[in-house]
Amino acid sequence: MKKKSILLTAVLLTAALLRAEAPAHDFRDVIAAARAKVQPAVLYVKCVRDSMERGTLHAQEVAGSAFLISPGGEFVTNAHVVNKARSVRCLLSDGRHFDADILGIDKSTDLALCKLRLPEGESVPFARLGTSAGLSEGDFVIALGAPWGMNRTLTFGTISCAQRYLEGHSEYVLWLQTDASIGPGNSGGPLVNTEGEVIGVNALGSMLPTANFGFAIPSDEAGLILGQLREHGQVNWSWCGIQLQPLNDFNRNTFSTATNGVFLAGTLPNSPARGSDLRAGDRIISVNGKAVNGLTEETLPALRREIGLLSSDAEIVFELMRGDDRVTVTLSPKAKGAVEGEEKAFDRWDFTAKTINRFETPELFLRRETGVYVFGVAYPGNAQNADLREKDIITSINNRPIATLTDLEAAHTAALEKQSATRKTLISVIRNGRPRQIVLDFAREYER
Amino acid sequence: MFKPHFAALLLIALCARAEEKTPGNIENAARATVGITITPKQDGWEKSLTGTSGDFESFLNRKKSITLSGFLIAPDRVLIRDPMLEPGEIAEINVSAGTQSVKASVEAFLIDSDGARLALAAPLTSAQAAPPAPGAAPAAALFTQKRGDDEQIFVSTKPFDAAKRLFADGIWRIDFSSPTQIQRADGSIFGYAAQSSLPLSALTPERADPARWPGFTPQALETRQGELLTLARQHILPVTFTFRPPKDEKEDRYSYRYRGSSESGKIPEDATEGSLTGMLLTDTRMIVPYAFPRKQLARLEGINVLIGGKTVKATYVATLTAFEGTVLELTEAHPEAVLPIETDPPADLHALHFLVAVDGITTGDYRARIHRTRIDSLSRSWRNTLTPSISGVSDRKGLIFSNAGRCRWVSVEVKEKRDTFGRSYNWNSSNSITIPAATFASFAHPADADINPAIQPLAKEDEQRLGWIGIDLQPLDRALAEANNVTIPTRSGSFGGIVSLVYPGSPAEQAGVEPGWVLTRLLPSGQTLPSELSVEKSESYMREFPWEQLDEIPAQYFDRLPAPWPTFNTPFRAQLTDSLGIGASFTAEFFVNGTRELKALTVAAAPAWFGNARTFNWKRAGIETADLTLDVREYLNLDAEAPGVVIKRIRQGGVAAQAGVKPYELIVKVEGQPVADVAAFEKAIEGKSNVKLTLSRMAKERVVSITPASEDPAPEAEKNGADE
Repeated sequence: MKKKSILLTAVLLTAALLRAEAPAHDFRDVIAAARAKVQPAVLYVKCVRDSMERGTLHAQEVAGSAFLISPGGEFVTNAHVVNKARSVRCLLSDGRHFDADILGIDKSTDLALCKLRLPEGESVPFARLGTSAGLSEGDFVIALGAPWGMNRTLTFGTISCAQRYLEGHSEYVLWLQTDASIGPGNSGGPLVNTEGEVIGVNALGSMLPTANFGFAIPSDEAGLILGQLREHGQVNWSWCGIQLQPLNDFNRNTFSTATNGVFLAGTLPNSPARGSDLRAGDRIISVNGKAVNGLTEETLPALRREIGLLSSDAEIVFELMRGDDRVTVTLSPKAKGAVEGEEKAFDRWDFTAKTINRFETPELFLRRETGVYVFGVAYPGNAQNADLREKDIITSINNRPIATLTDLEAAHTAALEKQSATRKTLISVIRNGRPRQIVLDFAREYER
Repeated sequence: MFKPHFAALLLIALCARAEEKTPGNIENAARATVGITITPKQDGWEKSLTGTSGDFESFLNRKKSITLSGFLIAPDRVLIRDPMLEPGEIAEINVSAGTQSVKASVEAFLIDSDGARLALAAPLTSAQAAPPAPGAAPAAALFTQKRGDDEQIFVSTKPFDAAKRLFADGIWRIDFSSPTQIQRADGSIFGYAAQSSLPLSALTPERADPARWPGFTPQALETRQGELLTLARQHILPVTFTFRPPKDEKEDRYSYRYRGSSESGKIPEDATEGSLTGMLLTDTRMIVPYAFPRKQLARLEGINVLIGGKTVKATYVATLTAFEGTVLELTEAHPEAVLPIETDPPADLHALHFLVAVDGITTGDYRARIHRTRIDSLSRSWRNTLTPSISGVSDRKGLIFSNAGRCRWVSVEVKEKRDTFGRSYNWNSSNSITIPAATFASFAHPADADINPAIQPLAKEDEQRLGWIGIDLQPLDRALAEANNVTIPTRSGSFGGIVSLVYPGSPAEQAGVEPGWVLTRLLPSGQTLPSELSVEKSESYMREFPWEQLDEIPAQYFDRLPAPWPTFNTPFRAQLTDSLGIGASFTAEFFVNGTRELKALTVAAAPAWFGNARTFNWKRAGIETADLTLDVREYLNLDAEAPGVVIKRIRQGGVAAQAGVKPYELIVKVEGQPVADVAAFEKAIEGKSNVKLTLSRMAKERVVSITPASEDPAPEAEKNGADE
């Protein structure tokens, strides 16, 4: 508490110093002007969301940032801010506050489009999306938002890297890396250039003590996704199940003499590509006649995005080099669908379950393509006492096979109905690839 | 030093009065009673420490003065119990009566009975010598003495009634301690005895006169001990076993290692050489009283026996189950070295015996010591043999020779019977007993029931072979026992395991065992009582493998990363291998929905698993690969035909490590062509200056290009941190 107040004082003092005697054409004017254009459109967002991570269904408050893009109240934030929100409340810089509705969420790019519930005739200030295409390292930027819940915060820095590839976080989009301080709560807030245009959506920070870098989704890619969200309420990614690998991969010490195309690293099990003639090690040189260039890893997100945004109704033609042979492969992609499983809480058993999803839990998908697993175990609770563990795949209950949350729900209901006869449930699970049995004694009722 | 004790005299009087009805004359016994104090030498403690069992407390005890009582059998002769000190350990002996005290020395350590005769430096006039008086047997009473801690002497008496106390074997058993005076009814002295078992034949004036009993002077005893030690060394032969170095067992680092049968740990289990002693029992057969753990004996390369300064080769015959012993066969006959064995029972239990103990062995030689010892009693115990309870030495392990130089008893380790099966630890499993040498020798040609077929030398490639029946087991507990309807047969889940997996083609599958059955007990053929199955929780330490974080783990920690799949070498399989042995058959008791079901099963050789899979070490790339074994396939949900090899080890800083290859990934293809096993992989990369490998981590694949180093690398340089 004390620490926080010291921090706040310091912020106020700096603000006071900045305002004192600013000479004309000072750089401070540039910053102040840019801020003045965007700050009124910045929202401090508080959501109450359903969380099942801890084994029960409970409400969790999440705070983040956002920025308005239309006078009617449309705003942009991160998917991870509003995902599973029961309610979204927003505070404007001018003190007005409104509830909001979610128009669309795309977890793959971590973007969400929402809209304030404005009273008839009321309008709000909005920011302009600039282009991120021309950005280069060294450009000055400011980040606006509410780090650690402290709204109306401005931090300042430069573009440290305009094309950052982060392994595991760059499926469809490269990142803008900045040394403007980005903390928890900045998520969804704008990264602004000196012209006062939004050029990025702040989304990732680093919790490392000395790390001075944050990451933002570039505005051009964000604009593309937002258009889809506005139109469909989601992004209709198509999916082939191909894994791409650059021609030159410094981290893997792998280099190719080829100058065009991209390697096919492999295909995923039970995917359109796995069933096709595509083979790991092929070099894809064009997709639907359009040449592809995957020289380095930085080129991969755009390639994946272009392929992913192709319609899942139409065939895709891959032209590729296999050794010295030129081969053409045609395949029909599938709709990518959900990238995470559905969840459900089982109160009396004191655990939550989730469906296996190939994107979210590939290691479980490897063992069971459809099924449910233990998502969270409540402490204290009956499941915990029985040594049920997270990521246990539930295969049967009282010797009846379980494949869906509905099956599990029926088993839960049945167990509670005949509670007078027995208060024990025999659960068969797969843990770490090996089957085992668990007796869940739910005689005790835990108060939540 | 020794003060008179009026209290002692009073007690004598009191005892006498209490026993008024006893025939004989207690005064006569009391008057001949003297006290003896023996002071051991205070120097030479190193000898004592290393010469005896070596523990300091027993050394200190030995250093205390010993107080005894004795009878003055002549004016300058005293009969006492054998103090069981070596002649060289005695510094001074004082004999006292009333206020008088004189010095004494040992005249003779008696051969046939548990006594010693002291010669006094001067006659002891305060006591009245009581030599046997001529006259006829039988006697009427026995008088014995006991000396208390505060130097009081008690004299007690027992009536002597031949008709009542004669046993069928003609030996008197009397409850007195040595020495004992035998009086006639009129109180005259008939003679003495120095043992609690008194043959009737001893009741002759000649046999009852302690002055005539044969004995060794201290010097003669030392000479005799020296002779017997030399004799013993000719028959206790140094045996040297050599072993192959053990295979590295990286995969087992995080699993329990099954402890072999031996707890004495004379030879470390990973040693490549070990020396012990053994006894030749026929011209060519010998027994080394030690049992090697299965894994160690599997690595046996050679056995050399040193006989009369000559090295003779021997071969392994069997490991005994009756007691810890290894039977060997010499490649040539050596009748001269066969252990001389005493088969007749001892004429007198308390006769002088000698225990030979071997302290330390170095290649080709050993250090032994000899102690004189006396047998306190014999009892029928192990396999209905007469086993002795001996006194005089603190360390009772060794060979016991008669004064005639023949071996009468051998001490061996006997494993305690187990009634559970499957535990990795086996506390206090053995127990030292002394068995007749003739019985010991009979095991030179053991019956099948007395050998452990599981313990055999194996070829290097079979060394880590495991026995199995092809099931995975989950430990039972109270709740699971209830859920599986086996509460009563498993005593609420205190033993037994649920079959969680039955491997295709395994003995269990062929016998029709199914997942969900409960295995409770095993009855090995030839055994009369079944063993309860104990399944250990082997996963408590096992966390989920960090597949998601694999890229962030620095190379120097690769070797510490435990394999993702559960270890195949479970305590259950280890014990199938070690205790039953491959090929052994047994009956297994299962419960299926609460109904008992017996299955006859045979322990089969388990297929290769990750720990002993064939490997290929591609040194120029810095990776060691292994065949995809069934445990790995089970974990990765791969069928038996799925191609690939698994990466077992990665050298940090090597070409493969630089290419981002991680441990436990699979190499599924080389240049786009699937590789079936390590042999195919080795062939596929042979002679290539650059190869493209398709790697698979869980389901995700990628291609890496490897340019092997031009020559085999030097031992790896230490690499600290990736970003420095």
